[in-house]
Amino acid sequence: MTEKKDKFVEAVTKLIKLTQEGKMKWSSVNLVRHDIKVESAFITKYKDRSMRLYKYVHEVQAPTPYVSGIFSTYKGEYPYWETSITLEFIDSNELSLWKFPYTSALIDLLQAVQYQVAEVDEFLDDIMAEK
Amino acid sequence: MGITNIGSVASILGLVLTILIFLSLRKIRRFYVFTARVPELLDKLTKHAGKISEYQKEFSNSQQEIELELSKAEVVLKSLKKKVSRQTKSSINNVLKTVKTYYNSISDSKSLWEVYVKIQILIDEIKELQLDIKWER
Repeated sequence: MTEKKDKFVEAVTKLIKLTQEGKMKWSSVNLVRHDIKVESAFITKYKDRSMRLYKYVHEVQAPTPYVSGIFSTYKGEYPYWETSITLEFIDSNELSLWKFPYTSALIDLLQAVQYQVAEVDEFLDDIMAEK
Repeated sequence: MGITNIGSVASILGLVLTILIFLSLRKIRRFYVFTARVPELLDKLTKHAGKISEYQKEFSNSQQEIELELSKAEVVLKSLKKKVSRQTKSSINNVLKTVKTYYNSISDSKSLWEVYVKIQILIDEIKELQLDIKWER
């Protein structure tokens, strides 16, 4: 499993590189879900596969007293909000097909995607060119 | 059984008990050090990795920044090494070796990216350990 997980991490880092090099183009989309609050969502198509990346916050409910007493290590108040990022394959109707396991490299992928979609480089070039 | 024999058995039992208590205390200490310090160090490492991936975009213009970030990451890695199990220690050594290779080689963007990938894999490995430890308690 660890080797497989490593492969997913490597795949995500590869996506970061492709995004930074502009070989993978992302666009911003609207994603409405009732179970989570989506902060931003992006889609891309690469080698005939569509992928969606989104950042969201979700509510974490208190576990049942039995589970809480034995296993829970969280000592704060419930419910609380947790931020996460998901990368998934989607079909032609933008329905989720499969989600990548969470890896911290997704944070960097999201940053690279936001940087590309916001056209930061183009903006900086424009600003520098202005006299 | 004579008094001498009972005394010998008691001494051995006492020794075994002392060793068991020593091992338990060491385990408890490691657990608390891991729980208290590792999340903070992991956050730092995640930030350094993020910066390395950003600087990698402008590799030739960011040599100084890259070196600075790598040395900060090295400090965090060395600190982490003291707080984890033997198996994770070897993963950390592996990352440190990749950093060394980066410095000793032609220091190109490819070998820097290798460092970045290794750090990300390590972060995930330690995060999995954190989850395991929650259940072990």
